[in-house]
Amino acid sequence: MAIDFFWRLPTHGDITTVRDPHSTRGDWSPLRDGNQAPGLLHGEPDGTSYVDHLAQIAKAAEISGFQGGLIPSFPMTDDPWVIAAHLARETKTFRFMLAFQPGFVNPVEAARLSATLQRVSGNRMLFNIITGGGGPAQLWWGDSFAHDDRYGRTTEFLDIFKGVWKGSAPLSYDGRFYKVENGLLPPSLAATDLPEIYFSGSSDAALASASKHADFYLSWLEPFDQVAEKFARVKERTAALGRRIKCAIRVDIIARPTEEEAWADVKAGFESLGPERRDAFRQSGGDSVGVSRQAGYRPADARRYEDLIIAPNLWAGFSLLRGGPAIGIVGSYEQAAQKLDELIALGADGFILAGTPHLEEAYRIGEEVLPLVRGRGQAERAGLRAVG
Amino acid sequence: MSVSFYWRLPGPDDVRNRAFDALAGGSPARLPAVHDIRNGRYGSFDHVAQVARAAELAAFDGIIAADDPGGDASLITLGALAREVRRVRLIATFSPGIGSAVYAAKKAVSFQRYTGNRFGWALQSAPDAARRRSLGDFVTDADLATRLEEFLVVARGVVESERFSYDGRFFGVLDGGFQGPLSGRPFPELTLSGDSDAALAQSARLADVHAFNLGTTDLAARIGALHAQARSHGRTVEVALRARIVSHPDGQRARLEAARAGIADAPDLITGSYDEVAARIEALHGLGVQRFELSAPRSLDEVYRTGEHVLPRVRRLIGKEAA
Repeated sequence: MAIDFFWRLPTHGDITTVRDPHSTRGDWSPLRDGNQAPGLLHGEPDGTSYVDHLAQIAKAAEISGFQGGLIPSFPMTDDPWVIAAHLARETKTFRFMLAFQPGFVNPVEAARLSATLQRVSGNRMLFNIITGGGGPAQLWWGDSFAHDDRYGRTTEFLDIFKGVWKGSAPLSYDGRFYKVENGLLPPSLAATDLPEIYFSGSSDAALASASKHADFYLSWLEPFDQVAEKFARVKERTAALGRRIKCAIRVDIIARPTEEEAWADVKAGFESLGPERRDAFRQSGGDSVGVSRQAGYRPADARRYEDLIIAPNLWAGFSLLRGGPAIGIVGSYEQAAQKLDELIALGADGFILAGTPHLEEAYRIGEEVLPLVRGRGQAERAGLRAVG
Repeated sequence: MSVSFYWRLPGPDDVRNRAFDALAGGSPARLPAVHDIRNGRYGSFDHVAQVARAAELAAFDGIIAADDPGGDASLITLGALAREVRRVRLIATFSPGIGSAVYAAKKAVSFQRYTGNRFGWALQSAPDAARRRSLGDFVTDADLATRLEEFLVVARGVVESERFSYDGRFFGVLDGGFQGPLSGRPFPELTLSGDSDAALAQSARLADVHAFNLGTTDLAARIGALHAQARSHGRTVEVALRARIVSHPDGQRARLEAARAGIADAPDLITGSYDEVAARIEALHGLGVQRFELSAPRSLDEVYRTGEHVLPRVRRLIGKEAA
């Protein structure tokens, strides 16, 4: 079975090179001469905005063979629905994976927004459902439910979301968090495809919710034995409910023609960080279980980049170079592809890849790494040969 | 007194939209004698996008996407059109029952960033409680006004300050507020509507624009009441009027077309020759209408006719009146 590869749209600016982690694309950092998509040319408004840069990245991803891209959502980012709508009519095949927390839009309105996006894009939207990192960030959004309550709410949200879209009769639903009475999308909207659902969350409450509604269980990259254990648990749990769920991994890659070049870039990026910048990157993820699992590697305490090499071609310092997961892949094109094949053998059915800068690296990974991925049957046969 | 013109985009009742939806759904649009190579590649959005572009080319000031439960979601429609129209303002109609006010405000800020601050809100909830419940919104009639007000307090708070907390009955936020490049964007221009005393009182306090429907009883008196109340709050509110328009070089033909569309006797219809329609608009302007929000059963044709033939006449009439 073929593997689904997605890219990522950076929704709060981008960095020119991993060797110098200062944002120069977008307007999230003080503008400097040469900045891309700041909306200014020689200091004067030029009619462009950051969405013009995102359009470049989306087009690079689709032309390079990615199915589409994740559009992350955080307090400091632009909004994924607005981004997807803006790019729908100027991309051809790019699928928009919207990061979305169900608490923020009521489920019938969310179904209307989604179905409209399906209509305008030709069924190219899908979801990365996030139930929230909790803590202060949730209250920032005006959301105060406790952790496990939020997953109960996500389940109800998806019950209604799917029910008003594909139900054979108007839906009435009386839940703890949401209610609807005789709700049904109009025929022109209901005729579109339900978005696929990538589901994030590491806790037991998350797994219970994912088991009911998710198409893909999405995890950050963790040490491979933990990935294998997690995927096995998810697949076992959903099988018990009579459903099948696929697994996907969100991971950054630094791939270069040789491994030496890849590590040289990591080293330069690591050494460009001052201590105060490392402090700023110390993770704070509220009550998210996934974030605390990643924070166990404490990349901010490392003195040398080598301290963060946790396995061949795996580096746990990515969160120092940009926000997000700590562990990523570093190596030659062949090594990067081999790591992906190892993860496929452990049960990965899909990937959300990313690299800095997102525009140029979409081409590079699409051109150099994806063609070397063997896939499930191929990878296993190659492994058997190696053992034999 | 200035006058501006906005075009309301065609929705699910539009004849062409329905035809293109059927085409996208695979219904044969032609007899087999015509070699049809469209193969489902086009849908009603391609038509709606042309109408939006037509409004821009025909010198309208903005476009408005309605919130029709039978049709598309306005926030997506306008996002999809935003990069194809570069000048006109974009007004999204939706209900404060949509969900988190912070989240809605964040969408608005992204729209402002991407469109050069051309984005506006027209907030309204379905007046019928059963309809609202079918949309997952169980607010009572009595609470509609409070909910709208709290929605605006929170949305404005997080857009206009970088540290904002509020704890209301419907919305709350703790230490919210948009920062960095998301801060400092203008709050969306706000249109409210309705002709009850309560609606006017709310608009007088909160709205930038208040929209009446053509056919409102005693329109001039209602406009006067709105202005008086706004003045008592030290504010001004722009008066808009929603109307349907069918014009033609020959007034008889215009009325025939309106009859074919089944709206010959509609109270919100302006129809007739270009001169007749322009005179009607100029008279309404004389009553105090500053903004016209127009729509038509044949949207693309009428937006050109209006832009090419009616608006120049209106501008001439208003210029004479001013002189």
